Amino acid sequence: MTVFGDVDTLIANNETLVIEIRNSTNPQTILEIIRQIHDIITGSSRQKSAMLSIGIVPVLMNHCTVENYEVLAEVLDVFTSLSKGASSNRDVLLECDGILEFVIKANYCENLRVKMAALRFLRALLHDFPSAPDILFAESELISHFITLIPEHTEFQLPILSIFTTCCKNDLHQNTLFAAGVLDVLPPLISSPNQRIVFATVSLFEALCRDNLVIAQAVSNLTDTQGNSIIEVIEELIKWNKPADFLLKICQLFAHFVQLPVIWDSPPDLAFKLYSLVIPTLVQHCKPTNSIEHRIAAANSIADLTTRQLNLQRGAFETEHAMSILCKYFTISTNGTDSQSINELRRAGFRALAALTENDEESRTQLLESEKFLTYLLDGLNDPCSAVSLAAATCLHSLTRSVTKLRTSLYDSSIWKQLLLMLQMSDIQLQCVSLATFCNFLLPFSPCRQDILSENVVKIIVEKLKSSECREVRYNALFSLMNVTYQSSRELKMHIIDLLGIDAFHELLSDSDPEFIMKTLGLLRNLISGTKDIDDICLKLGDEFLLKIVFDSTKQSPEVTEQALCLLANMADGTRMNDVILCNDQLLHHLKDLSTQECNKAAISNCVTNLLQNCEPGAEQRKKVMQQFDILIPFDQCSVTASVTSPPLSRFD
Amino acid sequence: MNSMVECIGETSSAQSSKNRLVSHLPHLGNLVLPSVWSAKDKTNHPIPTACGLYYFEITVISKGRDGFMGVGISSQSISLNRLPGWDRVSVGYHGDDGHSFVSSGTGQPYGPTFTTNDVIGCGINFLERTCFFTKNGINLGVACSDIDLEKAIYPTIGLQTPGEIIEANFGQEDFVFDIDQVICEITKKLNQQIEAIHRPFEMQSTLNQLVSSYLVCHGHAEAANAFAQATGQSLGEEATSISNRQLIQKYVLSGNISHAIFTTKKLYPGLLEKNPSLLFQLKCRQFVEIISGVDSLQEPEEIDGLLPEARCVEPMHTDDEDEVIDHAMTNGVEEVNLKDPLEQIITAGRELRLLYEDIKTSSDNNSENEQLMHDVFSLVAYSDPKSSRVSHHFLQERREIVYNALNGAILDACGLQRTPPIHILLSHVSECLDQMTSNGLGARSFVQLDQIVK
Repeated sequence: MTVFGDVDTLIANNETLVIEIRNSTNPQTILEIIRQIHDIITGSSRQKSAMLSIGIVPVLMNHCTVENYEVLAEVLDVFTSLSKGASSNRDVLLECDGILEFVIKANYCENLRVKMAALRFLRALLHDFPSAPDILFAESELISHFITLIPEHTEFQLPILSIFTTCCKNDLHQNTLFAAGVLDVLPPLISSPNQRIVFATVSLFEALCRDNLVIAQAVSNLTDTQGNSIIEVIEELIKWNKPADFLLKICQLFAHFVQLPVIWDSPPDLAFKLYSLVIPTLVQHCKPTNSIEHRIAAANSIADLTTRQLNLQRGAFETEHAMSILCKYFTISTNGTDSQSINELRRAGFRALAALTENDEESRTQLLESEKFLTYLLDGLNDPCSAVSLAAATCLHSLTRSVTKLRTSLYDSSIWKQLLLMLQMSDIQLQCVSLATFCNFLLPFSPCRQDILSENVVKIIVEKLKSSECREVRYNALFSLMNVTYQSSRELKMHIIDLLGIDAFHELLSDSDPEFIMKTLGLLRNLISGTKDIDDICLKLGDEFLLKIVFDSTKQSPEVTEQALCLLANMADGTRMNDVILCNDQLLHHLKDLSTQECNKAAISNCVTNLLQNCEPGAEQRKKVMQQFDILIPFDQCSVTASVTSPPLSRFD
Repeated sequence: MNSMVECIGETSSAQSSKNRLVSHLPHLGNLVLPSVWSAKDKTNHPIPTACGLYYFEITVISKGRDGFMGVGISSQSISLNRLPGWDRVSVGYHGDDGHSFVSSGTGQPYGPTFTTNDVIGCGINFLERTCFFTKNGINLGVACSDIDLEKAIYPTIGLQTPGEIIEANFGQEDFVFDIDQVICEITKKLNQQIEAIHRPFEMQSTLNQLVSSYLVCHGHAEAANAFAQATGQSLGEEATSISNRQLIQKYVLSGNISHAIFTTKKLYPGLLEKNPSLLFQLKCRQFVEIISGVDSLQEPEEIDGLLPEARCVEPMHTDDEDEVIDHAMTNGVEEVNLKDPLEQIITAGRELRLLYEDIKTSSDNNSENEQLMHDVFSLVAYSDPKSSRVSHHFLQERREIVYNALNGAILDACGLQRTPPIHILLSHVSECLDQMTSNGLGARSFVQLDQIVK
């Protein structure tokens, strides 16, 4: 029989086989024909498609009704072969009625050969299949069955590990596998002499621990057969002559472990190994001599590993001049590389650099001093691919956390203009990061502040605060506004109040999240500052409204109460407002009550000092009023001193 | 290991204690450390370039007054009053500013500064001609990428202000930095380079020929046939000829030397007569095998491949050795009873002796032959020859040696290659590696031929 030829001939030839098998009743003949079919389709995608098109699947499934294990195993092997090759082949297979029930039933078969063939088929069927988890997790019994199979036979291990890894995509999957006891059977596999099983085990651990601290903690408590901690055993596997995929997978796993206390507490060796082994391994794979895929994975792992880990950021920065290695991510030539890979590479580069410069001033300096980096960054922010521009913006955010950089290189480059464009894009994440970055650009010591404000950025920020559907965007917008108002001019403050409107404050203060309330109070504090402006701004906002805010907010958590008292202290600094407060018996009573709580002492003291206005005329009178309400006058205020305005709030982050 | 240190710098002093080398510098000066420790040779030795990768570490015990310390490498001609890196052909990493200096008084920003309790390492990769430094186990990256290897280079530590104390580790203790990973990496890179080399010939057929000739040479007839069929090539030798050699191989390797000699004589007449030394070896082997109880002097009658299988390789038990020897001594019969093992040993021994005398005049390796003969004769003197001084004669390897000699002689006689090309290839590679070593090519250190062959 010819293997090559046009599709029609293929189909014609194959059809005769199908007829033969249909008409045959002799098991031996059937087996031989199935083997013949297997030989024909092996290695030929065309033959597989042709076979599927003539409906071989139901015919073969029909022949498996008898308990003939040899036929069953052979049929499963044919199906495995059919599901490989063109990606459409699998879809055709999955459309066949009862195929899933068939393979699942075969997995419970007593016969070893059938079981292995069924596992191989299921693995091939689920490999790289988007709905694979739905198929597996619909069968909770099958999961437990697989877990019991793992220790039974080494031949079962690879396919089962591979199926679990393919299907473990979110915390629901992770927790289901965890609850089914998958962790109990994995430790012995990590010491398997078969490197493919070790790799598959590490991959499954990685899939289980991804963004799941509970499982990561459970994994860290595991020990191998000799009683060694599994983390230590995995760390021992890092040897640079092993394949890059394997090494990178281990490093990825360590990025999930990094937040565990066990890494930093008990054996100091583990933390040291992160510096001396995991990070160097990642930096090694960032070098241009590696494949693009490996460079992408390595840089992403550096980002995951070092974000919020100050010590590791420093260590990674020092390792083999990682910064300059990562800068090469932006110089790759587009020849012969697909644009998606290049985008992923640049994204990974920016992500890693964002993590490394998150807290360390020296790395920021070195990065900004490195040739052309600002150009790369601008290109990145400009990139039509939002993933790249988002990563670039995150990197810019890290860089703006430095006072010096805000006043030097970042000011010179006018890079904020690009940020302003990003702020107006529809991508929520982009809005989020650009608002966070504007928080820093808009601080009073930032020379860009005036330029940015003249672009009417406040209007945009207020719009985001009032109308964005995303809480993070609203929160960052609120934060930015708080920073804008810090030490701002009377006109700007009035403008912001006009734009926001009183209702917006109402709405923000009635939010369920105390963080929102805190920041709104902070915004009000910044608005109600500067002795001359206080009375007018309070008038604009409404005295009653403000007093009510203070009244209401001081009944909440200690943090919110403190903010509200600070706001009251600022208000008391205005001459007119001072009278208004001192005339409000209810509030003064409330202040007296609050002053009995230890946690409020400092804030109350500020309030009283400002209410007293010791160096202004009428201080004695004011003192009397307060004494009427049993409010204690701080000892140092008994004589003449200057008033205290509680410091305004700003976020530099 | 006791390290000898000779300090070149006049104003510096060095103390050495067991497993510990401490240099304490009261004044300005440089310390050039020997890289190869030897109790006899007290001079400073340069780093051998053939090592491929060289690494040492220092621990800063005290940074002294100002911590103006430098670690690195330098040629012998540098001024010992200056820190490594400042002079020509020297590289240094300085603790006070963290800069690297490459044959220049001006440093480049390189890494962090270092001070008391820091462990600083210096590594030289002779393959890439690069120099890197480490601090507390972290590789700080390449400091110099084109080291001049024309001149001999020395590990160097420069200390400039009073009170600076360092301790050096040249491998006598574990390094803080994981140097094994670098070795793994270089090996991997080197293998990739080798893989990437363009081969001017078609590799697969060459490999097939190598495998085929190996199988033929060692008489693996069936494997050779199957391989030839699978790869579609000719064997270069008649299948029957291979089978014949295989038969002889079977006899020799199972200790049935009488059959082997008989078969060889029948199949390759004149071969053994032309190679008396080979015959002598075979006879010696036969003597040993008779003692083992595996062989006998009885010659087979037929050789058409249906010869009886050789017996198991268990040597005979010699519980009653003394009695047997007594018997042999008192008996002294001329008539040989070939069924009696003792008679056979005596006869075989006599034959061997005669043969030795015969070839004494013609053979080149007389002393070897004599030694061999004495060795095998002495086996009879032990009550348990298997645990005696000469017990190695019972090892399977001894049969293999004899077989290889016989097989080679047969192949020679048939006009075929005596040594399979793959062996020649291995010898060439081995020699090539030796040449690399003697010429100081570092890549050699990362090739383990034994492991590859394994």
